[in-house]
Amino acid sequence: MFNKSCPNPSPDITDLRDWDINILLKTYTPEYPKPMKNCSLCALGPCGFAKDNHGKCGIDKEGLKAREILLDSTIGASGHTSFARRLLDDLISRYGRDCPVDMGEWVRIKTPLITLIFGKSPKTLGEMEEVLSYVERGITHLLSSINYGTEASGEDFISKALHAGMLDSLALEVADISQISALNFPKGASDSPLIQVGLDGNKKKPFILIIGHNSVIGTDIVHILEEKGLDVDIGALCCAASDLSRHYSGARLIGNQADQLDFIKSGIADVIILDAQCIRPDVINLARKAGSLIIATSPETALGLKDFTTHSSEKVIEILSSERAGIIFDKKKAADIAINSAIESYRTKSISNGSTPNSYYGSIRIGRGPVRDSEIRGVAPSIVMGEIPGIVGFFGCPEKDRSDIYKMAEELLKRGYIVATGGCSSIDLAKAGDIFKQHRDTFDSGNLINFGSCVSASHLLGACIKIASVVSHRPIEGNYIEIADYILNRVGAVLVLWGAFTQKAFAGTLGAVRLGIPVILGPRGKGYSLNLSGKRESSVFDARIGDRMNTIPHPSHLIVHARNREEALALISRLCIRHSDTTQGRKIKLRNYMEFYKNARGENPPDLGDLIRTEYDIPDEIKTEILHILHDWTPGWIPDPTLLSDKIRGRVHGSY
Amino acid sequence: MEVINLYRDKSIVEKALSAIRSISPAFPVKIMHVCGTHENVISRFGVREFLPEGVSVIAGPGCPVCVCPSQDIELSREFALNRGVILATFGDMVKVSSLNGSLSEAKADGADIRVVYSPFDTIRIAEENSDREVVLFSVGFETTACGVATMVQSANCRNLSFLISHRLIPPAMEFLLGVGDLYIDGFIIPGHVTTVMGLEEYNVFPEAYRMPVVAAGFEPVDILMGIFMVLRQIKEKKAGCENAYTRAVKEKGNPKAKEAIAEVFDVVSSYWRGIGKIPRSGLVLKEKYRDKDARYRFDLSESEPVIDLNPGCSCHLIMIGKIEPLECPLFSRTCTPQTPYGPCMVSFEGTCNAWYRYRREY
Ligand code: SF4
Ligand code: SF4
Repeated sequence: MFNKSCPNPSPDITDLRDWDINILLKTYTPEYPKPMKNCSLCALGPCGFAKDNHGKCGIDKEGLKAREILLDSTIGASGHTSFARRLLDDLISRYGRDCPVDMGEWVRIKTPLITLIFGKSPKTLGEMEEVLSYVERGITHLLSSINYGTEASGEDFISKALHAGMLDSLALEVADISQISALNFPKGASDSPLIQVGLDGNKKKPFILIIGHNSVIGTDIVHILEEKGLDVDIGALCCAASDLSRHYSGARLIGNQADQLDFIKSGIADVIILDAQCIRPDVINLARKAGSLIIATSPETALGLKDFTTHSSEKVIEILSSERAGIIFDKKKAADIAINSAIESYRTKSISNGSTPNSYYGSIRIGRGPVRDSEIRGVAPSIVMGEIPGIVGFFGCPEKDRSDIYKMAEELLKRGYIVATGGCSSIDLAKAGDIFKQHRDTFDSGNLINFGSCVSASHLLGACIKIASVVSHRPIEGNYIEIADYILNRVGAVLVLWGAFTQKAFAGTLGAVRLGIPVILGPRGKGYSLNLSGKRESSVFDARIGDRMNTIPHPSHLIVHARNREEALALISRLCIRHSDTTQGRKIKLRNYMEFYKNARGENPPDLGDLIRTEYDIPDEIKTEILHILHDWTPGWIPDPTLLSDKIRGRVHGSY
Repeated sequence: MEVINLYRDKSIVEKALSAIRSISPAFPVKIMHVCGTHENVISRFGVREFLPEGVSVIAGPGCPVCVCPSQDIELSREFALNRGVILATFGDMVKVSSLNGSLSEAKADGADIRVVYSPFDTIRIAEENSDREVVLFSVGFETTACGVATMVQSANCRNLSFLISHRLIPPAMEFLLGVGDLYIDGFIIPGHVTTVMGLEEYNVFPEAYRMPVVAAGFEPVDILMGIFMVLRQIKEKKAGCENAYTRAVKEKGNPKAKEAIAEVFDVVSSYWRGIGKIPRSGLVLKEKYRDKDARYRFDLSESEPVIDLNPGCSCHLIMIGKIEPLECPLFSRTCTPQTPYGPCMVSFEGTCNAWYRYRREY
């Protein structure tokens, strides 16, 4: 089925459909939790599906639901790709196409996702453009499949949605590696400095607030302030905040998306700079009421404002003082105008202390970027053997109740999981307590790593690719399927998107899933339209002896949502279980799962028989009890697991 | 002497080979051994050349010098060069390089490094140099660890401490079964290690992994017997832990030696050069022996293993049995026992070194 000698660089939108349809969808059943009662995609409709099984165009229910998945994921992937493109354009305009991709001396596999998918590793920012062109081409073709009279098969829609997810992960890596290289963000060093999250209410300087994702506007402002020796406070929300703190220690990491309303309303900002994505649609009105100026800088988020890009800076400052809001797409100019307007506004505006949020939360480590080779060598065998019980990534959008994510992380760290985070989730963790202060950030058992902003989720996927590469020595260039098979069967990693609600988070979900990393969505997860649950009648090959072993899949789900944190912890521990776990590794994982499950449901998990391969897997202290519980259980064995028939060695001599 | 001759006797060897041929399956079989001494015997007597087509014997991580991580060598160099100690170690350890050089280079730079043939020789060095600190840099598997354990228990020289870099075989074997793409069909395990540790801890391989395991001695016939017994298990479609070295190995091993190891050492996760940190695979001195632990005595801990092998070196693939020495482009060209580029070419027990000395086809 798979041609080993010709791995697949820059796969077209159907090049990996064998992996999706013949492997993943044979092992995991798609379920569509969101009801789809009608469709109004084209002018033949609306078509009702409550009674009819087909739309007027002939599409069936399965196809209809799966098409929605492709639409959501492509929208999400386009969000990250558009962001990556703008960022790369900005970086190239400042640092040149020849600016080297520089991940420092400790990172050998510099661009794991790009190398795996695109087939080679770019050496310069200019070469990064080729990667993005590939992604953009793919997204265009995927969107085109949604057109009337184009794709119709449910399975192909899912495969294409997984492709969108994969392209999304590629865009994330392009964005973060480019900014790490050009803006000299930390390159994988651990013991990253701790900084405070929040803001005190004592405003003593002009204040500029950035909302969005693009780090370039923030760094432009910092460079002007440093050059001119001006004393202006600069703070940011969401990913702009995470990334600015990776460049400038004086920047204030105020909070995340969830804090937007409070901080805009407070009027603490003299000037608010908007980039793109995760911005409240009512931001203009709110800022006007609070007396803050607004400068929009991204063509994706024009918000009905007037465009002053071609006006002189002096003229814009004058106009803004009365108009209070406008567009300036030239970020350098926007930075200059923001500084001058903030100084001017601070001089003239007085704010009441009562309205200023006075909120210092806990501290956060600044985003450290990728995992170093030496760290990978330190943990890779233990991960593949299952003796570090898992890598758990907390990413995605923020949640109102931050205690859930905090307590989950705390519990997992205590049990030796590697917990990695980034973006709004990392800020949620910091806001809920001092968890970053209490843990080191080396990529190792029991440590808490902040990779950076949302785009840094790519480093979690990258770490899994590196583990696969370091342990198996499989080449990664264009070798997506073999590496994904390895990760799925041997690397106990799980992504938790606790507060996720955006299309971007959905695309990120699918990007992880195609690579073999299961995703747990928080309570809002049911608002998304796809679950992937393992089929009971499933099997895995033992590559050593060629036997097909009948077993439920490990991980048991690829996309699942948890209703509460107790359930999430049970799922996390369950989804970290892999076929390759050694007996010691399985013991550790089983113990965690049983304890978490009991805590969530008050009883032993019903599926112990599926998880215990031989008596060696049972923790010694409960062996008698467990053997007593197990009914109709017959011992199996630990396979050399793969879902790819091509990975079976030549001989097939049957069972012992 | 006569007994040894028996195990090299041509007619017995031929009988063993014919038994092997008679049960060799039609499909390819890969048997891994995890012992430098086994590799020496196999290479020296050309065992591989006599095996039926399809039966291959590959070397795993069985050379203590090869698997000793570069950061431990760095540490030993630090002791020898900058801490004014006498550093004692076993012969081949002085030749193997970390990134900054070897102990013999440190010696050329003035460090006081002594080669010992038995760890107990270090006691004499310590007694003769009572005004100086002496550190034994001790590498090796369970067999060596057992000797060192008794020495730690009994040695009373206040100026003697230990830089321990001992490794355990079974966790490495378990790791290899999870690596993927290695397609190991059975293990031959070293007779000396099992003489000390017994066979019990190897039962997990047949029982949980369906992996035949046979303990073998160090004469050609011993090894052929080991191969035969693995093949027999495969043919009979059963996996077990068998003993082809009954004249030395007992099911429970040597209880006294095991007790000494358990009394002196804690089991920890440890680095293996080119492989990474394997859980439960290394030994460190227990807290009650801290005063004899050179790392504590001199307040030194190893640095992060930045780069483990020189660029272009394939030793990491040799050590897990993924390739054979002839597949390394450097073998016998830039890398020879006189000018070793990678650790596997340094020691007598290294796979590349053994292949270089005994195989003539390159
Ligand atoms: S795309 Fe098909 S189902 Fe949807 S509105 Fe048009 S005809 Fe109806
Ligand atoms: S020939 Fe040298 S470099 Fe190559 S694997 Fe052997 S020891 Fe290492």
